[in-house]
Amino acid sequence: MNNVMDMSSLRVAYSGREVLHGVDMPIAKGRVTAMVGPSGCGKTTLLRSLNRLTELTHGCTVAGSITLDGEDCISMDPVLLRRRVGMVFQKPNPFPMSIRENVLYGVKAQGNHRDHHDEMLEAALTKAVLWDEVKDRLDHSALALSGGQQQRVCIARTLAVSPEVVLMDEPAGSLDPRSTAKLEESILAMQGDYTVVIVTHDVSQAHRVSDFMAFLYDGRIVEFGDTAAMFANPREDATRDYLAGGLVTLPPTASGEPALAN
Amino acid sequence: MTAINGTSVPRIPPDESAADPQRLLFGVSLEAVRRPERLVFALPLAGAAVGAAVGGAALFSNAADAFAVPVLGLLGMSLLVAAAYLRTRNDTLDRAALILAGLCLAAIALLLVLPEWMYGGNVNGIVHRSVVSGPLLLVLSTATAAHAIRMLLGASPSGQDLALYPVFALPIVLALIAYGIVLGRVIVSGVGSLSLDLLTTAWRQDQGVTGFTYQLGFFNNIMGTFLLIAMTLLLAIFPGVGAGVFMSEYPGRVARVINFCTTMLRAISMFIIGAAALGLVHAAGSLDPGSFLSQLIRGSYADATGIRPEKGSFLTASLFLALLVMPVIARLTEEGLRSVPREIREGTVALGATDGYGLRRILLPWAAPNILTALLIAGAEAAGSLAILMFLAGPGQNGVGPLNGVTSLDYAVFATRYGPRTYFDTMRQYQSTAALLLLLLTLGLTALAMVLQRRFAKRYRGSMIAN
Repeated sequence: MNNVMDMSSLRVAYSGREVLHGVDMPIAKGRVTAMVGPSGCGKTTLLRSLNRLTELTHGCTVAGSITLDGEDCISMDPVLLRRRVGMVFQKPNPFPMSIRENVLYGVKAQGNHRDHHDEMLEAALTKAVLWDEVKDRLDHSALALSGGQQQRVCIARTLAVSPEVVLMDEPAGSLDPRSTAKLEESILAMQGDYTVVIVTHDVSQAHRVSDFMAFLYDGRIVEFGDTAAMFANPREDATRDYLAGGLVTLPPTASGEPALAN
Repeated sequence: MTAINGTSVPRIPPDESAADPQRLLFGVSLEAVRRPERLVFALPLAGAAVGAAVGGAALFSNAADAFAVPVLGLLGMSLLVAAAYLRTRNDTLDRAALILAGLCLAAIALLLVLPEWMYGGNVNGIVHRSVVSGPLLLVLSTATAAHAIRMLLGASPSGQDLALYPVFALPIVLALIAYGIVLGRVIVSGVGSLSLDLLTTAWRQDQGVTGFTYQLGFFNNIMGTFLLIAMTLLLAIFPGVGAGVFMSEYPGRVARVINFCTTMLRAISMFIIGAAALGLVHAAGSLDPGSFLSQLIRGSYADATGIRPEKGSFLTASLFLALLVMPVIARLTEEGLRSVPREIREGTVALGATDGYGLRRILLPWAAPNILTALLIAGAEAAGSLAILMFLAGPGQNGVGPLNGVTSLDYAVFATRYGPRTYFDTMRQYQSTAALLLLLLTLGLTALAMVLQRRFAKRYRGSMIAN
C-alpha cells in the first residue's frame, strides 16, 4: 500500500485531558479513507491534527508522529503543511465574497495572483460538481447559494490549490439528502486524483464513498481496513454492532466514563 | 385534487376549528374580547395616555402643571372604577390597580401641599412645582398603561410582552425630551443668525486708522475642525487598529499588557492629557519662535516683525487628541475581529493562507464596520474635546494648516463666551450658531458613517440578499 500520510502513536490532549490515546493509521494515496465512530470518540480531533488545525485551539497538545510523504509534519511550517493538506468543514463556511473570489482565495493566498485563474476556477468547480449550477453567476455572493452549493464551493476552494490530501469533517453534516448525494458524487469524482480523509457519522455514507475505513472509539482505533471487507466481515464485535446501527458494547473506559459518549 | 408529477395527492382539508380568524393587534391576539369584563381597563389606559401627555407638557411649560391634579385624580378614579368593576364581575381583587390608585392619591396630596414656586438648588433659587408634577405624571401614567395593557391583552403571552413596552419606552421618551430641550434651544437660537457670510468668512482683527476693524465668521473654525479630525484620525488609526489586531490575534502576556493600557488610557480624564499638552507647549515656550521645533509644537504665523508663535499647533493638538482616541479604535477593532465566526477563521487558515493574508482579505474587512464606528467616535471626540483644545487654541485668524495655531468650532463655542476679550466682544451673539454648526457637522459625520457601515456590513460580512 502506497501511503501518503502515516500516523504513529498519535496522542492529542486538550488542557491535559487526553482524547486520542495513541493512534497508528496509514492514509493510502489517491484513495478515500473514512473515519467513523460515535460523537466524542476523537475522530474530528484526529482529522484536525493532520493539518495541525489543533494548534488553533488553546491548550491543545499533540504527541507522536505524523508524516506526509515521509516528511515530519510536526516540525514542518504549518502554513506549508496546510497548503498540501486541505480541509472541508462540517458547516459550509464560504467567505463573504463572490463565488469566484471564494474558489480563488487559496490560489491567491499562495501567491498566484493572475496565472490561469479562469481555468483553475472552472476545473475546481467542475470537480466539485457545481460548475453547471453556478457558471452564469460566478460573481454573485457565495452566501446567496444553498447550503449544499455552499459546501461544494468550499470543496472547490480546497481543490483549487491542488492539495495532496483533502480532509473532510462530516461534510454532509448539515445537508439534506439530495445535497448529500451531490456531495458524495463530487467525492467520488476526486478519487484517484486526490487522497481524501473523511469523518462521518453516517456509516452508509462511509460504505458508499470510502476505500478504507477506520472505526474509532474512545480515542482509539478499534478496527481499520478495507471498507468492503469490514462491512462484510468485521473482526471486532464492537465494529459489527456499530456498523449495524446498534449501540457499542465495549467495557467502560479506564476513566470511568460511560461506554458511549452520547 | 392536485396533480404533481403525474401522481395525484389528496389535498389536506383546511382545519375547520381555525376557521375563526384571530384578530391581531401588533401581532397580539385580542383574547380580551373573549373576556368582556377586562375591557373596562381601556379606561385607565386612556387615562394614562392623557396623563403622559400632560406630564410631558409640564416638562416644557409650567402652565400644564394646572392640569396635573385633575388628571391624577382622573387616573386614580379610572383605576378604582376598573378594579371595582372587575371585583363585581368575577370576584377578582386587582391589587396592582388599587396600589396605583393609592399612589395617584398620594401624588395629589403631595402636589396640594407643595407651593407653586419652591426653593430649589438651581441658579435662580426657585423652581416651579411642574418639575415635580411632570415626572410624577409620567411615571404613574407609564405604570398604569403597563398594567392596563397587561389586563387587556395579558391572556396571550405576546400580550404580556406588549405590557412591558411602555416601561421600556418611558426612559427613551424622557431622554428624547431632554435631547429635544437641549438641541432645540441650540437650533432655535442659532439658526436665526446663520448666514452664508458667517460660514465663508474667517474671523480677523485688523488695525485700522481709527482703531480695530473686524471680520466676523467661522470659516477657519470649520476648516480647522475638519483638519483636526483628519489629522487625528491619520495619527490614531494605525496604532489604534494595530493594537486592536494585537489584542485579538496574538493573545498572550503582551496582549494583556496592551489591553490593560487601553482600558486605563480610556479611563483617565482628558484633562490630564490636556494638561500634558499644555506642559509640552509651555516647555516649547523657551525655544526661539522661529526654530523648527517651536513651529512644530506651538505653530506660528508671519507678520511684519517676523515669525511669531501661536499657543499650539494643529499638529500638537491632533497628536494629543490621537492619544485620547486611540484606545477607542483599539477596543472596537478588537471587538470586530473577535466577532469573525470561528468557521471563517479556520477556513482561511486551512487554505494555507498566512495570518497576514487572512487579516487583509477576511478579518479586517469583517471588522470594517466596527473600525468605522471607532473612527466616527474618534472624529466626534476630536471635534469636541475642549479639554485639550482650550489651552492650545486661538481664534485662528492666521489660517489653517498643520503648523498653524489650532482652532476649531468647539473652541469657537467656548471662546464666544470665555475667550479673548476681542473675540468675545465681537462674536458673543453667535455662540449658538457655532454650537449649531458643530451639531450639524456631527450629524453629517454620523449619517455618513451609518450609510458606510451598512454598506461595509453588506459588502464584507455578506447578506442574505443576493447581490
